[in-house]
Amino acid sequence: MLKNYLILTWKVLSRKRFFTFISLFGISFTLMVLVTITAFLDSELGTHPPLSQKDRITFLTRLEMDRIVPDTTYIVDSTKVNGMMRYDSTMQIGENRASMSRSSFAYIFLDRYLRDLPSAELMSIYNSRPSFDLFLNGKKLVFNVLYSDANFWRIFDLQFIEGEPFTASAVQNRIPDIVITRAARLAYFGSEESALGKEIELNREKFRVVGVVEPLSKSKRYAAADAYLPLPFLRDFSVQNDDYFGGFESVFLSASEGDRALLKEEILHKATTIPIPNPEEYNTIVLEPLSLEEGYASGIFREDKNSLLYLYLVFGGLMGLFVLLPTLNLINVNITRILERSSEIGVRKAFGARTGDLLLQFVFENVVLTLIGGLIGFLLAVWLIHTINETQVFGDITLDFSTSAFLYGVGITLFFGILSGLLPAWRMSSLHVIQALKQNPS
Amino acid sequence: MIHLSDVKKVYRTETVDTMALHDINLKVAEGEFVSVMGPSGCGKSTLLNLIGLLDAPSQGNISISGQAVSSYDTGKLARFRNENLGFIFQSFHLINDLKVIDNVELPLIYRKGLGAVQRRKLAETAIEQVGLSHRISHFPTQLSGGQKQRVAIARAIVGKPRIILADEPTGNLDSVMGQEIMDILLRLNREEGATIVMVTHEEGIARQTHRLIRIFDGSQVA
Repeated sequence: MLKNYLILTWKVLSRKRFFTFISLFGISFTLMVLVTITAFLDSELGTHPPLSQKDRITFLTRLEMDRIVPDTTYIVDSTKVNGMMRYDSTMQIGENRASMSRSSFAYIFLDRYLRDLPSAELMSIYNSRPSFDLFLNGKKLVFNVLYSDANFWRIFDLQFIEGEPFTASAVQNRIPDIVITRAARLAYFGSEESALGKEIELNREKFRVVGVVEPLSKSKRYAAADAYLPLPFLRDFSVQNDDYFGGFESVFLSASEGDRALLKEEILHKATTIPIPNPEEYNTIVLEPLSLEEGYASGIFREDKNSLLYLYLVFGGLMGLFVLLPTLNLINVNITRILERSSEIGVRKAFGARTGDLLLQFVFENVVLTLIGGLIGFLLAVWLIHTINETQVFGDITLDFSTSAFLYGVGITLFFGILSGLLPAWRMSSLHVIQALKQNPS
Repeated sequence: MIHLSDVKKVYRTETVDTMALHDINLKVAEGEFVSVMGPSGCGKSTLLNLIGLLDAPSQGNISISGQAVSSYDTGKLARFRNENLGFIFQSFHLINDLKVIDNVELPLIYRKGLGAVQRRKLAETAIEQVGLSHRISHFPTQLSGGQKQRVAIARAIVGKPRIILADEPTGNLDSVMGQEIMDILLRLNREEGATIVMVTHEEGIARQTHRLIRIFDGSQVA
């Protein structure tokens, strides 16, 4: 029976080549887009280095200080009663933000108020990457430098090609150790050879290379840099004053995903207890602990409170649309294709086929069509991802072909493929045998 | 073998009831070759559809080989048709995408317990019986009308049904081809003992069968 179905499927698909082309195009294009979008999302938000502990990580990158003032609104309603106008007023007392400042943190603020939160297993403070111009053999190099403590390496697992991160002791004792990226190694030393123990001069100071890591794309702004230095090499980094704003950000690692929720609560509560240095100017401190996804979404949707929801809606909507359109097309093509075969349905029924047999046959055809489309989609997705990486359409973001994303894509397409075939197949296989035989006899 | 008692068939629409057949009482014995004649629209094909269990009577009973088939559900009917009935249609109803051998094999794929090799062997034998062994790998579109009908006959007999129902099998053929088809049916009846009920418009064809039933305005008149 399977062979018979296969022969028939092949014949049906090759008989209506244009319909088959449209169907295959829809399936493969959908799959290609789904896999590419998933690869992009996975690259940006996936659980892999440097964010293998993503679900336990909380970012705290911005401090907001607001001046909140009472805001009273009067609403006046007028009604005509017995020819007389009556007025009724309602007063609504609310709040309004009169002024606001937002920036990254001063080191001292993070260190003083957020260092020992109960649900934080680790905390790292790092700065906002100044860049240095280096002139080497008459060539100008620009190095973006990230100054961090040792916890940075325990929270972000950057991939070391050689060596290791600088230690807590190196940070404490201001030992001039440096970690550079593979690209920085090539740019500075002119070769892919080991750079361990070699010296790099930055900002008129010499540093010894202790580790080389794979570079991160600039979109991973929380940890991307050309070189990593211990915090004390940033002058006056822990200067004691009352200025809460500065160039530092922080990241926390909780023991579990559940603890992360608690940590967020603790940070939000902390915001209400921190003294305000200039109460005549501001009266509220706002801290916004964010997961990676929330941080990513707020970057796109201008830090709106619902940005993560918007992100899901936009990507979900786009992906839904890309699945829905070919599904509708497939249903349409399937109805036309199956309608043409009513005589065959009649004959099969007359000779003993049951509704289930016919349903199976038509669904089988759809599955084969979807699998062929899936194969083409696979090739197209590999090609597109390769092209995106080669042409750097998304800057230095490198997309990886994800087999699991592809299999999910095939699964989704198969699901909709079957669904799109099921409805017309059910309609036609339920057709009365005499009615079916009367239509387009062969 | 086939027994219809007080069979009535009414086609109902929202506004009109059309009596297609009424008070049909018919017996066809095993091994009998019966032809059904009558003017267009008199109910011949409806009668054949009822005997073939492709349609259900509005009233009355149909039994085949002593089984009250008119009470069967659709699944049981499908199985009964597959094992006991073979159909030949005026317009052949072959599947153009399948080769002759695959068309003939079609009824067997719905029969339980038959392997691919066995199915292929039975199909080859049936094709041989209608003299088309040399066209086994052809597609229906590559065959003449007479050859198509012979393929349809092979398909009808491949499952060794006890009853063959033929709806104007010679209707689309010239007289020579028509007679060839008739000869095959007569041989099947004579040599294989197949019970055949055939609807025809042609007096000459009908006269070659054992018995002629005439239908007029939905009633059996002879």
